[in-house]
Amino acid sequence: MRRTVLIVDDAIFMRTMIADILKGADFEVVGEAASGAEAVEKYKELKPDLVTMDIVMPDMGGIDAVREIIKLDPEARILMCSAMGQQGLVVEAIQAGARDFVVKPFQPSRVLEAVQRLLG
Amino acid sequence: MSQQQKYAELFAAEAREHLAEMGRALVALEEEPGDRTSLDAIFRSTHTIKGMAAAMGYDVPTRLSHNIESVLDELRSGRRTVSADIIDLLLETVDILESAVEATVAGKTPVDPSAAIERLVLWRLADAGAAEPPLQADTVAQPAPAPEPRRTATPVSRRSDASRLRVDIRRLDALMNLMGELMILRGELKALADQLGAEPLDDAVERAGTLIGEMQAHVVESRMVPVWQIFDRFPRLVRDASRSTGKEVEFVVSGKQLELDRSLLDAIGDPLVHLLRNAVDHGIESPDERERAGKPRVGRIELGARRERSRVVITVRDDGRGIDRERVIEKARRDGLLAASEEATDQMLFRVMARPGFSTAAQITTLSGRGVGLDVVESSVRGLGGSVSFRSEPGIGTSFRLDLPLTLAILRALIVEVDGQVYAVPATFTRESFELDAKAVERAHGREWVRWRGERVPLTRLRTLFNGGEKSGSAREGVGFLSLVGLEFGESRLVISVDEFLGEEEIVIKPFDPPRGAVAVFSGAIVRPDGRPALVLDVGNLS
Repeated sequence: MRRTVLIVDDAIFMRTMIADILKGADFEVVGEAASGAEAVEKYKELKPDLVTMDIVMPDMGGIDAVREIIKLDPEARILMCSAMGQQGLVVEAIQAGARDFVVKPFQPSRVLEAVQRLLG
Repeated sequence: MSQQQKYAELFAAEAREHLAEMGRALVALEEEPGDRTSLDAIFRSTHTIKGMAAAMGYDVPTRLSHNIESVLDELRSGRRTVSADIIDLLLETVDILESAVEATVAGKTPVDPSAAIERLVLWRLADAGAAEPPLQADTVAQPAPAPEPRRTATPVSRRSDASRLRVDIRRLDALMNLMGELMILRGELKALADQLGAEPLDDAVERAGTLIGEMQAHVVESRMVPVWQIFDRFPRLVRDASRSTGKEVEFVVSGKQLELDRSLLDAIGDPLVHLLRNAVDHGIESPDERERAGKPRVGRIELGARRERSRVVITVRDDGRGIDRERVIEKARRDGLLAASEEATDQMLFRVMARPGFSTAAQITTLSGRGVGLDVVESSVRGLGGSVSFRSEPGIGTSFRLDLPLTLAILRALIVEVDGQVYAVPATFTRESFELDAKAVERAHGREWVRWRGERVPLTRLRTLFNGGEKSGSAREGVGFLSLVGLEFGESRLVISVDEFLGEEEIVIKPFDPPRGAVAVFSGAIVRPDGRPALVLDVGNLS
């Protein structure tokens, strides 16, 4: 069965790029969200196997969204997608319940590796 | 389209939005240095550009945005306060970032960013707080009172739900063109069905017609974007212009949510830049001059958009010195642009000032303080099927008013016949059509007038106009009833007489190059449902 993924990023560009990487590995992108608040709503609705989460977003950032999602579902598998220079925030996100992180710019192989590990 | 190209286009479109947002938010931050919302907005936009640029492997934009972000960190953490210097530096860097983004996307080599980056680093290293007074809100520009709330708290295009789609404008253009062809075909089908008189065919054509009409409404709708997409650039523009000229200006924008066809919006950007620059450069006086004239030191420029019936009205108003009418009139008379007996109305002055070349006379530009690029403004707005009008009072100010159709490609028009030929009058300007006893026409000041809506309004007989002043078919004159169309453009009114009304139609305007020497009263051509062409009247040029 194909695994489902929810992609969270405020840039359409980033969402498109991540979607392309994951689709290539036979994932089904069931939803996209442009803010933390939207991500929480979509998670409730879609219960995806995987969430990719940006950190800096308007209307609830990624870390708060991780906290909210983990509250709803402690088993949620969330992969943080951060830009360079955000190590501190990545640590905070992991403490909040995210499972792993990748740093932009993404290497498709690195993203897929992280995803496999996370779902494996 | 290759994957890489798809990403590059997405990147460019999104980066441009964020750059505009950064400019807007930086100016807002300057007006209100403690404004956390603006600071956060600038940070998020910078951060997004950085992430996207890094993903694309665009080195220069990545480094620039990374360094901007580091400066913003200092401000966000409260280690440094917002100063006029850092706003200036950030605005300059945003400009460099913008040029780097554009160059990179176009496959060119971007500028060397090292000097810009060095200045950002130096600012960070500089002794915090030393010789850097916190920015006062009143040093440059007064904050606008209560900015109009956006429909949603955040710009729709960028931050809203993922169910929105970004579509290349060329696809919408193609769709719109096809829609236009379909509208013409609908007319042809209807005419054919009428000829054949077969009821089932009539019904089918009728239903298809309704569907095509609905579809057209959706296509038009999908091209509408709120005017803030270009208005948001202007606070920065006004700020920069007022700084460089030593003026103090409060800039107020209203009606930002109003929606306009995308291509119209793109096309009015430059004319508005002209008008706003002129307002700062030539309209608003220096603070001292204003004080001497008993006016507040800070000048005021208003930019507004609103809907009036089937058109959009955009106004640019300043409370500056107004135009030196005497100078313009004198110059116009000397150049033979205005007859000695001719009354110089505001509209006439505008006509004169908007003549190509008129404005470049240095003497007029410096003395009258207006005219720069007005011909450009006029011709672009005219080209969009709109009109420009203007009003100026010495010492009180000047206002420009642009009347525009809601959308470019498809217009409602009144179809009329004159001397056996068919013409279209855009509904943007037609207020009503009516009939009047020919005896009610008055003569004064060497022309004809009629009473319309409680006012005496000039009458132009199209028959006379098209025949180069010859009164052909004069049998009708003074006898029977005249078929008239009352027109309004800006603050002017005009009544035209036609031979016959043929009804209202949706028309699709095709670009039109009038032959040299032709009467300059046509703005385009259309294809009628019967396949024959008709000319579109350029109403603004009729009076």
